[in-house]
Amino acid sequence: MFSALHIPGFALQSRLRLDPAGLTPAAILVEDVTKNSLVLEANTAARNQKIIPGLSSTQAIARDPSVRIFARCLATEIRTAQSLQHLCLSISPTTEETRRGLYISDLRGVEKLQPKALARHILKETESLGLASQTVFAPTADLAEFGAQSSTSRILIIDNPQAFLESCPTTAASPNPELLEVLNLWGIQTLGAFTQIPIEAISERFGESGRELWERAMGRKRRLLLVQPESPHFHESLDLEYPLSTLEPLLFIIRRFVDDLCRQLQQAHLLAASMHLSLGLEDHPKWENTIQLPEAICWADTLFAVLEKSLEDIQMPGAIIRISLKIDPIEPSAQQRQIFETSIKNPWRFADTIDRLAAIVGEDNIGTPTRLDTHRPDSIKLSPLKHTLEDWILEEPQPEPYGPPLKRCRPPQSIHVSLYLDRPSYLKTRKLQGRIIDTRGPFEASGDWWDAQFWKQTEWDIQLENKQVYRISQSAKGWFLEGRYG
Amino acid sequence: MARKSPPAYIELHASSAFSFLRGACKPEDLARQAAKLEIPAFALCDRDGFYGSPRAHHSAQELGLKAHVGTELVLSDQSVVPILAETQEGYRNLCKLLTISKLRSPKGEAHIDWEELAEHKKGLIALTGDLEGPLLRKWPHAGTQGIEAGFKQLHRIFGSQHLYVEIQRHRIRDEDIPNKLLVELATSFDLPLLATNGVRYATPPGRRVCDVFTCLRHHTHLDAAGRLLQANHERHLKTAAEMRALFADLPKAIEETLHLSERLEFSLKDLGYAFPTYPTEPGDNMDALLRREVYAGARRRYQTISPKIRKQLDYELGLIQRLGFSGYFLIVWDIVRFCENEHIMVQGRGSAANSAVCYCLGITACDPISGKLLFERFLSEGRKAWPDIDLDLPSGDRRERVIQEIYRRYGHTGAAMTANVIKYRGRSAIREIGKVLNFPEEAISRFSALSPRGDYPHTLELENQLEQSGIRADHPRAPALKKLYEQIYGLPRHLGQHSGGMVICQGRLDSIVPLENASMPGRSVVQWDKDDCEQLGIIKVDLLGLGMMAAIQDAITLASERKRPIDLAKIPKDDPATYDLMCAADTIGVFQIESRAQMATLPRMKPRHFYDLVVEVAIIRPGPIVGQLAHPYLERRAGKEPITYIDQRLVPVLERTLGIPLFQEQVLKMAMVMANFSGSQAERLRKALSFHRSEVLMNRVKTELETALAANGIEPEIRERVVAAISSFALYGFPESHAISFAMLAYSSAYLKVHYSEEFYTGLLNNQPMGFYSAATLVQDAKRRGLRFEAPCVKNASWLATIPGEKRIRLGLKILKNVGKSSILHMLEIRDEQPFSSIFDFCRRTRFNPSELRVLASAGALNALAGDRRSALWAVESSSIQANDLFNNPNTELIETNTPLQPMSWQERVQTDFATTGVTVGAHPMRQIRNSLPRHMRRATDLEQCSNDSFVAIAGAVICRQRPGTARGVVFISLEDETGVANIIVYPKMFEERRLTIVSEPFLKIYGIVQKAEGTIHIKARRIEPMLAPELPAGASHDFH
Repeated sequence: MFSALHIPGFALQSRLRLDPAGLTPAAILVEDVTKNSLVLEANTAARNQKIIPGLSSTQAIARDPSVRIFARCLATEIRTAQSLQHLCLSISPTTEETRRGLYISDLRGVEKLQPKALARHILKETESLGLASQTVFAPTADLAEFGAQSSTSRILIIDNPQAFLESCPTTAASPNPELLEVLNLWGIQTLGAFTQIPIEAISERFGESGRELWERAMGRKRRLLLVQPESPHFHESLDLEYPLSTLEPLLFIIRRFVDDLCRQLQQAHLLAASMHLSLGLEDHPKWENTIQLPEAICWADTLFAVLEKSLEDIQMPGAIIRISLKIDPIEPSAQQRQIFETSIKNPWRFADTIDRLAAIVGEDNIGTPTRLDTHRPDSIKLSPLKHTLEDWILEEPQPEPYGPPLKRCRPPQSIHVSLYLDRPSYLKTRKLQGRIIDTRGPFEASGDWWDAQFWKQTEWDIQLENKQVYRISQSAKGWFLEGRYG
Repeated sequence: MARKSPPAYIELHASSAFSFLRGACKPEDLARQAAKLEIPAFALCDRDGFYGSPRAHHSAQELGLKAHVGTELVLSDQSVVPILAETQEGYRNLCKLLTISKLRSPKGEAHIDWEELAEHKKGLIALTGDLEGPLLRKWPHAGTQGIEAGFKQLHRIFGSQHLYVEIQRHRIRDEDIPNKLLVELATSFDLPLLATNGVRYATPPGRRVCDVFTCLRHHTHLDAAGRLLQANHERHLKTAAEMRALFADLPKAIEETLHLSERLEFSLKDLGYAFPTYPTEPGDNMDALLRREVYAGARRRYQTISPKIRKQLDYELGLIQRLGFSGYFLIVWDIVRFCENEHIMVQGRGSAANSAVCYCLGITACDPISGKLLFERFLSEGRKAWPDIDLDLPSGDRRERVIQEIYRRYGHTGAAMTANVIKYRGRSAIREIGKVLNFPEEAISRFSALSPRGDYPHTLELENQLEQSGIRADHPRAPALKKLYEQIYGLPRHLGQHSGGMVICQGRLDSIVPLENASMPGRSVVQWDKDDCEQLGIIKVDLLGLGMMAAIQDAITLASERKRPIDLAKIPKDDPATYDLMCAADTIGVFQIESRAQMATLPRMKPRHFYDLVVEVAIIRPGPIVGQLAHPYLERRAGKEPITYIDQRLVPVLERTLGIPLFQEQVLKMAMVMANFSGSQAERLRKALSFHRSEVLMNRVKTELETALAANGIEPEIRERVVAAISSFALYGFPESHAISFAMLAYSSAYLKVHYSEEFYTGLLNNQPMGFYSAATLVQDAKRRGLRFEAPCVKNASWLATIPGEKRIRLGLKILKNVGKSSILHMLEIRDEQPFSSIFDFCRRTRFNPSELRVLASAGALNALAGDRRSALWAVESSSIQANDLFNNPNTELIETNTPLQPMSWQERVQTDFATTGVTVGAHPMRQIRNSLPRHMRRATDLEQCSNDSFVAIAGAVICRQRPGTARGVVFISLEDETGVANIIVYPKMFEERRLTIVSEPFLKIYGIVQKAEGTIHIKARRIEPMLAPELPAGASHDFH
């Protein structure tokens, strides 16, 4: 007995998993939303509006103005496929990914499992993944595949192969496109009709591929499943029998995960680049945390210490019912440095120090100042601190500064300025006041005019009677002292 | 214009949007703003060309300003040098230089070597440029040394006399240091310092457009563009006071702009263009030659030359001679002679048809003397510009032969096509702005999807259209999107090629205007469009391709081959059957009168004479419709409204159009009769009527007309009516001569449809795509006229459709989709040598690939060899055939004829017909599903039995959707079924509700109210649904003209 797990409209369903509102309204998948591309897949709601693959997206909108259009996303397809493969492997180790969205498992050896019960289990699991699936049970792998491709029922058990093949559409056997085109032109719509044609004639016209299709269409062919070894996922998870409400048992399980994962990493000759810890909570949304490691490593003690620290002072709103830890691996060579590049002495200690500082000053107030790509004066942001020395070197050489340095007031001080003939003539602040004897400017800058954050700033360099030179600015908020030269 | 103070500043470095994706305003905007700011002159320096110079020149001229001519040249090291044309020689050098670089570069690029610039430097003045210039672009990396190196390069070429150190101040903090170095450089080399503002937009808001264009150029969006964007909005035109304040420390830099402006003696009025002379024998001259040829032609046309004819010819020839146009007429005559010698049908259209000289030279086909056409519409005493002669030619290869002949005669630097300026329109503007504002692609695509075949500004406001696309009015960026849309709409986007306008020149055209490669191989294009050329006095000859000319010529050839030759010049002009066809609006395929609006008017018009057809052609035009003249004319014609005249003096002018002025000629004549307009005044009126761009000109002539009418003692009320009648032609005037030319083709095609229907439809099918309807609709129309069609067949079909017998047409193999022409032509060659004995013989001797063989078999083209389509499909898949190995397997034929496949059903055949050829020679697809439709669903022919105002349902294939600009948003749908065509009217509200269904579904079900009036039947749509049935093929309609 073989089973087939099929996700109809796999690419669209994969895409919709990312979209919370995806399952209910009409949705279609196109190759590229920028063009009037053709519909590749349509969900049930869309099909109910007569939107079918092959229509243009314009026609799709015509048939349902509220239809949502999604572009294909390969990354989500790969992730979904991995989850499905994992599910099938949990049922039978002999599982073939016939193609994305179709998985055939050899159930020999696990006959004690009742097909219907197994099907219900699979349906439940796929539903939890946010996918609608079909499950087919058949005596051969090909029949299971044909059943998955042709049936619309969620569970199908093929116990009369001959009758099934008679009416099974040719598309179910996934012939190559050219062969399918010819069969359509011939008016051959079912595998039954196809097998009415003598195999010699088919063989002569289509060679080995035609012959193979003919034999598969007869339901006689017994093929071996192409089983790929499971690629390590560096992912451990556990559904707890009893909810956890204290830290110790949680750390115990995490330690076990870390040990196992580090062993896997070592076997694969990889290092951990980041860790993702997810805790399922009773009656509450799950708690998640991604930790970017300062340096890729594979030491279980250190990784565990980092995780332990990340859980310090965290109050979970509910008891923990599921624990999941995923490690993103990285090749050791990716971390190899050039001959003159050095890492800081102890990145772990450095990271620890930074974390402690962040706890005091706030995460937003620590980092490396980086100039923003804007004409807005004094626009900087704090970028995360790097742990290697070469990252601290400025990305591009800056032009040599001219004139005296400017000591900036941060934040700029509000001031009063009097004008004479549209130029500043008198300045007054809490600490400073005086007649302006010379000016340079104005220097105008404005930007973000397309947004509500539109800004405009006029700057002047001024000299007071005390011979000191200052930079002042005017914006919608008034006049400000930006700094003093020299 | 009056100035308050002496000129104090001239902007000598400005760009317009013709510096594509750099400048952010039209040249006209620059001129208007310059006038507003009292700047007496400016130099337009667009990137790599003079694209906007004519517009700047004319706008400036109208406003009393001067537009200097310049360009920004991109050198091979990417530095950009602004160059000004000091003299005509300098301008010509620039044109040649640009042509050299453009013709060797890909479209949109031109890189000039420094040495080439040195070779062409005479008469030119160079500026050192802005941040992209050879000096400052090196500043950030190489500092002072970089500036000096760039300077030396320029100084070596232009020396001290023709080089200006350009200095710009945009109130940016970092610009002071390099500017200081520029000042020092100018001082140490004793060079003039020239202040400019490097203008990119006329007014400060243009900065936004400039930023958008910057993003588009760098393929990024505003959020990511950072310092690529403008730092502020200072690069606009500034007043002299502003510039003087900005350069208060360098007053000489401002003064220098005045000196340099005075030095620039060249302007586009000194272009020096000359139309080629026509070569004559020694001792002969062009005037004498023209006279001889005209009289020779007159004898052929009229047999006997009456005094009236002689008087007209002498008058025209005298005027042509006085105006110096004899060479032009001879050259056009020569082109026409070439066409005749090459058996290419040719017909002059437009105002040339008003000229007896053109008629006698064979350029036009209608006799203006018997037609009482107004010669002044074509040529008058006061005329300075060249007369306009357009030649209609059969589209396709035949027209291309004529174009290539002109290139051959005048050389590739002596002739070129005129450009067509492609502008930002609704969808293109929103797509570009949307991208730059970082709107989701889905919203932008949805906006485009709402107007899949063009913009519909009539009924859907931009806000609503944006809302329907998912961009709500309260979206934070919606105001910016809307504002930018208003700013960008109508700006030039890129340059295309005009469909038929060619300019030729005595000597080198590339010294008059830069030439570029057109996208079509073997063609070059000038940087100006036809209006620019016309305004600059560059004569163009329009070689327009008409599909109908090709179809008619083919039909005549076919008739001749079938031993029933036809001479269009001799067909009866009052054939009752032809007029019956028009009265019944049975005009699918007929030139000019096949549109929905024309077909709706024909039963009201009831044409019985040729002039009725002339009116019919002219009346369904924006001018008469907008001017509300069409309806009164039809009412008067039907006797429902009395025929009255604005003034009794206008009776001779307007009596043939029942008192309603329909033609430009009548408008001119009205002005001549009522206001005593002279030839030159009439000429100005003509220009105002036909030149769409100038409201100023129109208003000026209107004032002149009003004054003249008053002076002539015309009462105010009549004056008002005369002026109103003339004004309604301002935008859409249609000349009578043009209508006559079109009516001749319309009559000829209608006559052919009635009396030579096989030839007519064959001609149409062989020249697809053309006209309003697809081949499938033409086939159905022909079948309703009793013609039978044969599918394309490899045994007896040709490349083109042919006529195998009475009332029969055999489709040509050309109609097969995805079958190579070369394979078919090769097959035809070897078939001529020896017919095919079997399908195996066919496959053995031809070069079709398996996919092509499948198309041939599916379309039934192999039925004559294989029996039926499935047998053919079975046979062509045989490995022996595919391997061309039939000699080794002599029994294959016997084996393969026993196909196990079922023959195709009727439905399958129709589906396959549409898939492989786009037409079916069988029954209409609607017949297939008729039985499955509800009984209340009517057929097109059933509508005649329906009473007026009854509610009906109808279904069919959409063969045409139209939304005329004059219909205020009403959409007309033609719905075809197995019995004919039903006409549907969709009002704007309904259209907006079902917009996408209407524009994208090939088959529709429509419920609505029957409206019958004066022989026409329409259905006013109340409900529209897509008709979805698997049996129906994908349709092909011809939409939105």
